[in-house]
Formats: sequence, structure tokens, C-alpha cells
Amino acid sequence: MRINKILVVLLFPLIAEVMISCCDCIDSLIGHYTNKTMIVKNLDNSGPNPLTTTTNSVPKEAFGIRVQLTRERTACLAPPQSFFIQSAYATSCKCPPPNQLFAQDSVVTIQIFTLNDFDPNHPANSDVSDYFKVFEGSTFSTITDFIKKKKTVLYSDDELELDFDVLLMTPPSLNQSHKFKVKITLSDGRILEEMTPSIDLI
Amino acid sequence: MRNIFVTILFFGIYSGHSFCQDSLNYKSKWQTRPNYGINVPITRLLDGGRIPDNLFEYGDHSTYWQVLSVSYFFHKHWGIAINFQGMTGKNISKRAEAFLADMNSEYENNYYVTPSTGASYDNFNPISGNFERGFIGLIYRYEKKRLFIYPKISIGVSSFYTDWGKAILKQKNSNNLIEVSYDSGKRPNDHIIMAASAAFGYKLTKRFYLNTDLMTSYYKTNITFNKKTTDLNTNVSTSESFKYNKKVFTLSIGTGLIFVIR
Repeated sequence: MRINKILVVLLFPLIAEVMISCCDCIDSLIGHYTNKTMIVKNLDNSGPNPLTTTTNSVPKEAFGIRVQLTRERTACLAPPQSFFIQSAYATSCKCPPPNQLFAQDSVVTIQIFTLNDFDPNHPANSDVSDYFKVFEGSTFSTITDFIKKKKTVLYSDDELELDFDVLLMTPPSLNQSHKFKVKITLSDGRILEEMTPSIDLI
Repeated sequence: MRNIFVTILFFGIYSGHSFCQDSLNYKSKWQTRPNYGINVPITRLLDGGRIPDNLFEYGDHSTYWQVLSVSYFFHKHWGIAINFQGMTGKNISKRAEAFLADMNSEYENNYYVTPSTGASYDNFNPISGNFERGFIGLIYRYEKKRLFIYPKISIGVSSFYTDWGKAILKQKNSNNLIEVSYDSGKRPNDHIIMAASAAFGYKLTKRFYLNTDLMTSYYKTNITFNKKTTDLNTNVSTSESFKYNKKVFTLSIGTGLIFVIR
């Protein structure tokens, strides 16, 4: 009787794998990616949607910055193999996603600095991140919330290019030329920094 | 025209033949009464001009068809009747279109408007129409050889849907974004309805009558649409109410047939 129990315990992993293994799954490709470079552009949101602009001026209530973060695939890992059996002997399918890209490093903070005097409380080189909000579809979120909710596992190479718009929700009190620096701190200690072209916020 | 003439001739001949048989005056127990007519509002539920008017699957001016109507006479003069009417109004299928147009004209001077609504009423049901009402009533009959009148008092339920509507407003030359939404909080709206009616007409045959139906009905509504305006940046909202607390009186005029089942 005792030997039966021991056999059941030993065979349990095999039985479990037979139950959940997949009959016709494509071998999934598992890899990693790293945050590589960043481009920032001025946005004019005076129309129905935010558009990148190279003009010299934008209404100050409709200004924003488009951040384009480029991530690169770093390595591919071999797909996990079944320990006990070939998948052809399985009785059900629970296929993993065909592509899974895990972050090698992640975004820890995104900060926006004004390089010119913004208002009496924010002279040049002040952090004005709180004056900006990330705009997606028809929702706004703070930069901190945006980082928290952004998923780090990607399922397609198309997702390696990350574009997001940060809109200036508190316009400057000074109508003058403005220039901003976007600083992204990554979990591996690297810092990505880019500056927007100068623009008159009128 | 020729078809109408042939039909009238047929009924004339058939009715003449039938009346050679015994009349069923006060003898019939079961009748059914298909009917078609119009509803004319004496008082209106929808004022016209208010944006939430477009979120009602209902029309004050409407047509009705009586898909189910059975009367049972348990006495020479007295009986009970149940009936169910499907109804539609001519602009109900354009409610969504009208809501989008109204939202645009209300806000388009200062905003880029992206409206949406659940009030898409193009899925017309040939049995129940867009909205419906059902009655149970006490019916009295007075019959002569060829003429009859059936007064009736009824109580029932009048039912229609209300829906949501909203718009995202992107302010021109600004990053500001506002959401304006309208919602009554409930979709089906059922109301107790009372009605007094009279059917009168002409007996074409022993079992087949032509009739006209006149009915006045009354019900009271208590519907409130809440207009919520939310600044999507700050999530600060303001609310405004649109009340539809109305006493709705309607005059219905219809015509149809009465078949004596037995």
C-alpha cells in the first residue's frame, strides 16, 4: 500500500505535465530588451490631436513633448523544453505567447527640467515634471503613475518603440522662448537625456 | 383600387351570406382583435430641444400595432380583455444621429467634439417595435344586429428604454480635455398606465367585425438624466439634472378587425 502512495507522488509531476502540455504550440521565443536611446520633439496640441511641430511658436496652453524611447532586443533564449515528455503526447493545450521579451533594465524616473525661467517659482534648471501629464487616448496620468502601470514584458517587436506624449498642463507665466530637458533614469543606473528645440510659448 | 373594390365586394357578399345564419349577438365568449393606429400626445414626455431627449427609445407621436388582444366574456355584457401593443415613432431610429449632432452644435465653437451613445435604435423588432405597452381590462359590450360598441377600462404597463450618451471635448488651442456624459441610471423604464377606451364598429359577418378603437391613456414618469461634466486632467466633476417628471396623457386612434373565436 505504501509503495502505491510513493509511486503516485513520484508520478504526479509527469501526470501534471501530460495534462497541461501543448499538442501544437509554436516554440515561443524568449528574449530580453534594453532601453537604448531617446528622442524628444515639441508638440502642438492646438488642434484635435497632438502633432509634432518644428515651428517657432505654440500656444502655451497647448504645448507638449513627444518622447520616443527606443528599446533594443539584446539576446534570445532557447524555449523551455518539457522535462518528461514530448508535447505530442499531451492531452490539452496551454500555449505560451509566441514572443516574450523581458526588460533587462526599466525606467525608474522621468523628469522634465526647464532650461529657461518658467515662472517666479521655477527658474532655469528647475524640475517642472509636476506641470506635465502623460496623455494617452483620452486619459491623463501623472508621470509617476505612467511609469508604474507601464508593462515591462513585451509580446512583439513592434512594442520595442515606445512613444508617449507629455502635455504641459500648467502653462508658464512668462511668454518667452522655452526649452526643456527630459531625463530618464534607468534601473541599471544609466541616464538618458535629451533636450527639446527652443520654442516660443505664447 | 381594383383590389380594394374586390375586397369590399367579397366582404359584402360574405357578410350577407353570414347574416342569413344565426347572429352571435351576446353569445360569443372569445374574441381576438388585431389593430393598428396612431398615438397623439395630449401632454408630451419629450419637450424637444433638450439633449437627453435623444436618449429615449420613445416618441410622443407614434404608431402602434396590437399584436396580442384577447377578450373573454364571462357574462352577456361583461368580460375581461388583455392586449399587448408594439409601438414606434418616426425619429426613433435617428436618435443616435441627433444626439451626435446636438453635442456637436452645443460645443463645437470651443471644442473638438467626439460624441458617442448607446441610443442606436436601428434594431427594429416587428413584434414589440421600439417600445411597448400591455393592458388588462374590464370590457362591457353592447351589440345590435350589425353595430356594436365595447367600452373598456384598463390598467397596464408602458415600457421604454433610455440610454447613455457622452462626448469627449478637446478644447481648441489648449491641452484641456473634458468629458460630458448623460445617464438616467437605468435602461428599462416601466410605468403603470391607466386607460379608458371604446371600440365600435360594424359586423361584416357573424364572426368578423370591422372596428375603430379610441383610447385615452395616462401614466406618470419620474426619470432624471444626470449630466456629469468631468475635467479629465483634474478629475473634478460637476453635475446637472434634467428631470422628466411628467404626466403623460395620450389619445390613441386605431382601426382593425375583431374575430369571434367561439
